[in-house]
Amino acid sequence: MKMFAVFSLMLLANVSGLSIPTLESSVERRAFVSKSAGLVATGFLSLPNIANADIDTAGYEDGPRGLKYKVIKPPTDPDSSSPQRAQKVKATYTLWLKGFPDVNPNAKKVDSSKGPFGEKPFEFVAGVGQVRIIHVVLNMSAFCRYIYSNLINFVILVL
Amino acid sequence: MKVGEERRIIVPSDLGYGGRGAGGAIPGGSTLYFDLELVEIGQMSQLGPEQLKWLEDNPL
Repeated sequence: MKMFAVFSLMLLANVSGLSIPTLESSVERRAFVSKSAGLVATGFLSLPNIANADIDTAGYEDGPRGLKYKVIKPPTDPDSSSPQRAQKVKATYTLWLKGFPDVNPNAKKVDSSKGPFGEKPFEFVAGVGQVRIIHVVLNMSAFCRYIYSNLINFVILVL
Repeated sequence: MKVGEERRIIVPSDLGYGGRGAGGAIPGGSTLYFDLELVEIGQMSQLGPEQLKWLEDNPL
């Protein structure tokens, strides 16, 4: 789990412009990631999937390290500010595999802040990894929640 | 990203769960697709000496 926290921190660093990695370090990191993936996936994974075959990504902006994004709805106030590090934020989200349902009928919902009885925004502290949650992991659900929070964490700050 | 803004985000496997996957629901090597809206920006956390040190030790 520490690995994910490190990834999110590295990604934040890339984007904030506070520390721009060299091409060499980026290549080394990819190689490392690739090796780690190979170890745990018993060798059948080669490189991280930068291009993806699930959906057509035309119209998406290129984010850092192969991440892509598209603005679906503009902010309420374009002059408002983005979250600062250590600031509390609330977000609603749905996580899909295989693409988004309107562009790939095989898309599968894995997790969402929207339940059968309504939306419950996910609240967390931006940009700090929320590692304290590790100490209260009691079951798989809590474990997954922690990972997702990290993902959303960097996604919000980055973009 | 600002309040009210909604984005579609495609996260490559190596920035997500990598070759390991997660919890049985996410196979190794999965690209992650997020629909995400920033709903609210709240208060700044209380930053005591411990928090400030942590932020300093873990720069962005």
